[in-house]
Amino acid sequence: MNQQTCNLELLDAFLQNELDEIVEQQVFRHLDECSDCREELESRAAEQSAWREASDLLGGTKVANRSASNALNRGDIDDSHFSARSPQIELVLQQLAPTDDPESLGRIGGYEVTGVVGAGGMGVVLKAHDRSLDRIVAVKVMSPHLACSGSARKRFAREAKAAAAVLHPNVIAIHSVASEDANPYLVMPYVRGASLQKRIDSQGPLPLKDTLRIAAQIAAGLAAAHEQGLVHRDIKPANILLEEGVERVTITDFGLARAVDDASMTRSGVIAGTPQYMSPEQTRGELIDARSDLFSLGSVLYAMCTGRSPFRAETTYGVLHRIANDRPTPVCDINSDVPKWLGHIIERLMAKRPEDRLGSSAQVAELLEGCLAHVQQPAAIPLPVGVQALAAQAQRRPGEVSKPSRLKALHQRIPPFAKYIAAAFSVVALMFAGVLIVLELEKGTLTIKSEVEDVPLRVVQEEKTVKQMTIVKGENSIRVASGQYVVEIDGDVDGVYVDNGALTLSRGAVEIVHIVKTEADFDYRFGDTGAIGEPSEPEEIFQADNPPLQLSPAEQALSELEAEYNRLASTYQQASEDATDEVELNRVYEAMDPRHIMPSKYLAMEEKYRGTDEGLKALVQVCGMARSVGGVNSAAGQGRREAVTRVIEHYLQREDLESIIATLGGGPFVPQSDDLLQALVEKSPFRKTQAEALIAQIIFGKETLMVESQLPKVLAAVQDRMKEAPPTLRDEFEQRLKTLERTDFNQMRRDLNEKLERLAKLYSDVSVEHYGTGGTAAQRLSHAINKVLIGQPAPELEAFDIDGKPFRLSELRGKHVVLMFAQSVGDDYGDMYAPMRQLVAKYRQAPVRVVGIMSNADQTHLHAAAKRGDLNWIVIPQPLNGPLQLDWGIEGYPAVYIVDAEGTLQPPLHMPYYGEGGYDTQEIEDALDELLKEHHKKGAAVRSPNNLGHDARRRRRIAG
Amino acid sequence: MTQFPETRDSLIIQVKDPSNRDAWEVFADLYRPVIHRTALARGMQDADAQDLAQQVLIAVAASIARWEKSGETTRFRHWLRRVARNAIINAVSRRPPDQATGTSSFQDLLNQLPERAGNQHDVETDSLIEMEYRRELYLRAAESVRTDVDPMTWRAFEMTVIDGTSNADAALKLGKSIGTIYAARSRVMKRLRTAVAEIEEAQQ
Repeated sequence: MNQQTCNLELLDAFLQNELDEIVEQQVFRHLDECSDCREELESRAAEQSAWREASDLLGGTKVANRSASNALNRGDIDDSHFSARSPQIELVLQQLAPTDDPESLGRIGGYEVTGVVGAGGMGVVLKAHDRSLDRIVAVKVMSPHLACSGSARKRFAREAKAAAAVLHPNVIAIHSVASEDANPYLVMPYVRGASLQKRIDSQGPLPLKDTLRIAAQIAAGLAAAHEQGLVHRDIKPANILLEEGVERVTITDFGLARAVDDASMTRSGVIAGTPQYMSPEQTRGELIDARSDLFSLGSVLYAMCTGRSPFRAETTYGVLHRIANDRPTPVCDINSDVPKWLGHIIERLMAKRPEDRLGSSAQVAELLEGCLAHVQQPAAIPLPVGVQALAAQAQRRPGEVSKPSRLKALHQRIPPFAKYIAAAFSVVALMFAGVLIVLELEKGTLTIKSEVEDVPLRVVQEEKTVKQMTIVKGENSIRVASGQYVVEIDGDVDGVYVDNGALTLSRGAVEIVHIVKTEADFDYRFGDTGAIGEPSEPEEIFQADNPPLQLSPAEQALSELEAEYNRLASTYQQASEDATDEVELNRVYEAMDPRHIMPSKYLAMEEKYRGTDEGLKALVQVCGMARSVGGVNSAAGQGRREAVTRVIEHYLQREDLESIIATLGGGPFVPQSDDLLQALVEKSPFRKTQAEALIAQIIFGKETLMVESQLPKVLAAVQDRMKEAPPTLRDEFEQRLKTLERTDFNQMRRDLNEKLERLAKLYSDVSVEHYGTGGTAAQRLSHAINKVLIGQPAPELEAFDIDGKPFRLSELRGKHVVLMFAQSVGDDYGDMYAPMRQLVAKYRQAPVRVVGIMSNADQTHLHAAAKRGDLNWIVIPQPLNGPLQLDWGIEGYPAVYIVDAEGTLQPPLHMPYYGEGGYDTQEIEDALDELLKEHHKKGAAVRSPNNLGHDARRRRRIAG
Repeated sequence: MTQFPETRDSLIIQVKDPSNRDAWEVFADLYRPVIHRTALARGMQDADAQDLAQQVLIAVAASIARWEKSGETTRFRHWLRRVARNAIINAVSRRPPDQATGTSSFQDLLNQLPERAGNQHDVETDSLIEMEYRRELYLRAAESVRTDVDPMTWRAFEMTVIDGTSNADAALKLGKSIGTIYAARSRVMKRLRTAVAEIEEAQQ
């Protein structure tokens, strides 16, 4: 090789020491002379990013920190929180392109970066100078760890484009989007000012006028977005910018929240980040619409009024739990300066059920503006009429006490009438709630995003359709069991296709499928799909006159019914809001409730399309209506009976019917629940369905047996409720009372044991949802039914404690033993430790021992906590194969049993979780106090464990 | 940015068998320093950070069977990161028991605990773990490349790439021509890049 000429071909061989010596020496000499070849050599050795990584990473933290702090010192940093140590900012800054501008930290696109504004879940916000237009902009760069994910990038681009379409003074404008860049970014106006979060942090509760002004503007911004079908999903004070010197509020981060969720949603289903402002439906991963933003707006209002977010807990799980179940302390109780009417508005925005919230963001904006006008000129302008009505309604809402209670949380999900019934059987109802919670955990969320309205879809698993539905434009979420699915369009629909329809859904994960309009939708004649040589799918071939979506007649009929139901529901909602007195309200409840009006129509539809999937779906819908509206003899209740009869008559041959047991069945007091289960057991051709139905029968039976030991208490509760119940429900209560009194519990136990035998004999090998196999289910349920008997000697419990020492329950005889069963729902029971420690401390001097049978999901934490000395009770880690509580028939909440000093099992107790208030041990303390009092009264003499008459004595005490 | 590698399936399967010490060592060997350094960067004391690394590895060993059984399709690395992150966040936000004197009411306890699991915190920890993993790859690769090349060549790379000496200064100090410095650092870089890729590959 000539020293004067560049021979790039040689460089690769040179790098790998593969040249003979003479040529190699020539290259060496050439490199001394030629800077081009030196650069070429370097870029052939490794890509620029690898050079940078080698330099930064091998140099240790020293190097990395140095570069970041240099960069940050040179820029103007608005937020000291984002210290030089933030690796996220560091990574982004490292990836900026070099610049020759001495004022700039680097370049991204055509923007010279002059500072760091902050960092958030999605990325880093940089302050930059747009040279072409000579303006200051904010550039939001997607975090490198998200940018690795192809789907996150795609979503970033798609959502940014959607957000860019919202033009409104209260919504941040999007100047441009660069999604192809190594780190995608979007460019927005630079807003000088602080976020609402900072304002609340520094100032506490805001003045009333500011609160109303800011909220009204947020609502107005949301209205503009909602009109375009865009849901923000992450309305929180940190995403609300307050412009300096101007009374303008800007909503940022529009629609970007989703991408973060996807990337950080983890196997346990716990959402990374602070979910404090999420709506209940969001925490459950359900379908989300604009009303979810309204809930978040309510939470933001709450924070402005009180200086803190409404649902606070030590852990993310705690927050989620509180959002779903708790009613926050009313704002007026925290800040007496907040007028009552504003409290009512917030309560309505934060209604647990979307349909209970105020109408739309536009209405809310109008309402709040009216309120602001009133506050500014109280004499001249009255409060808006709508607000006055809210106050009137709030006053006559029954049964709402401020003391947190599990019952109340339950009520909030149940409409007025069913509430009366549910309350009386809360023990039973809660057991079922527990089952649902557990089953739910095995599921993941499938979110289907559509650009088009009303697309019929089916979700297929192993060539079997598991779900059929018609999706709306925007986002649709369903919860399905984890597994592999294919999402496809159901029928022939032109102009749309499913993007990435095949997917694997993990437990607790979220997967997104997009329904995309074909390009040709806009201008088929110039169909650029073909022109630029892209492969054109058959679905993309477009007809000139776009025919409406092809629904089968049954689908058509069902979707019409659904539309009608929704219309009626909103009229009903409105009427109950408008009702000004009790009489009128009752009339609305009785005459306008769609759950009473619609069953007959669904039933008629099913009759016409009998045997179709839609027909079955219609029946399931009818049962669902009855489930939430109570009353066997009500129209809904009658509809349910008819629906169940028809399922039995016409649909028993179907597979997977067990999946609707939860909706159709429902326990001892739901009419025909057992008829259905019995029919499934006897006549379904599928063994899995038979087994699951049999298990459901046994579980429902077990729940009823539980009532036996507490019969006097339950009967008294029912009688209490009867006095309050509206006349139409009295009969219902009477019937239930009679059913309970007539129940022959001994016969019932014998029946259940027969069923258990059948289960063990016939279905030992059948895989079932919850227990593994039918055989295991039989074993465990048998233990729960025959050994765990209230008022009888407690079953022996043998295990190893956390130090590996053997544990036997019977060895603690003479002490009252508190058995605390903590389920493996969360990863960490950390926030249970403190209340339990206190409980232990309180009874240290008494003959009481506390035993925690703790989750198997967090043994590391458990061991660490034990090491720290956090656990002063006996800790039994759950064995990995099968939680102990299944043997005790415990399927929900952390449940507590007390075994008294004589070894007798006491009624089950709950240790409810109140988030901020921690786990509540009150029930346990009350029960212990009672036991100790009795213990004391009788003297400390040791009694025989099989004291005759003990059972009767216990019952008397419960009844009293 | 290069995708973070998957943990090799066979490795997990081997780890599942507690008697297979060698496989476990390979796994722990790689991840222990990553967790340790992440914890240090999060402000933990060295001893606590080492302890934490141990705890996380124990948790991983104990949970792999359960993780597999649940039919997870989450990438193993993501899952590990999650375990590590939980352990770290838990460790840094809880007080040791010897500090918990005086106030013992639950409310007091709550008030003294920082708001946990803040978004920013999580994201930072995530990025940290990511970075520390890459660092571990590079450190290992560098170790093997260094023993493979002659000391002058390594020195030229070390000076110019790691210590930030300019190429001209390095040429002067080492008494070599500028072309030789470029050749040396490029050759090392090439090997380093290959070695990193190999370690990554071995972890897939």
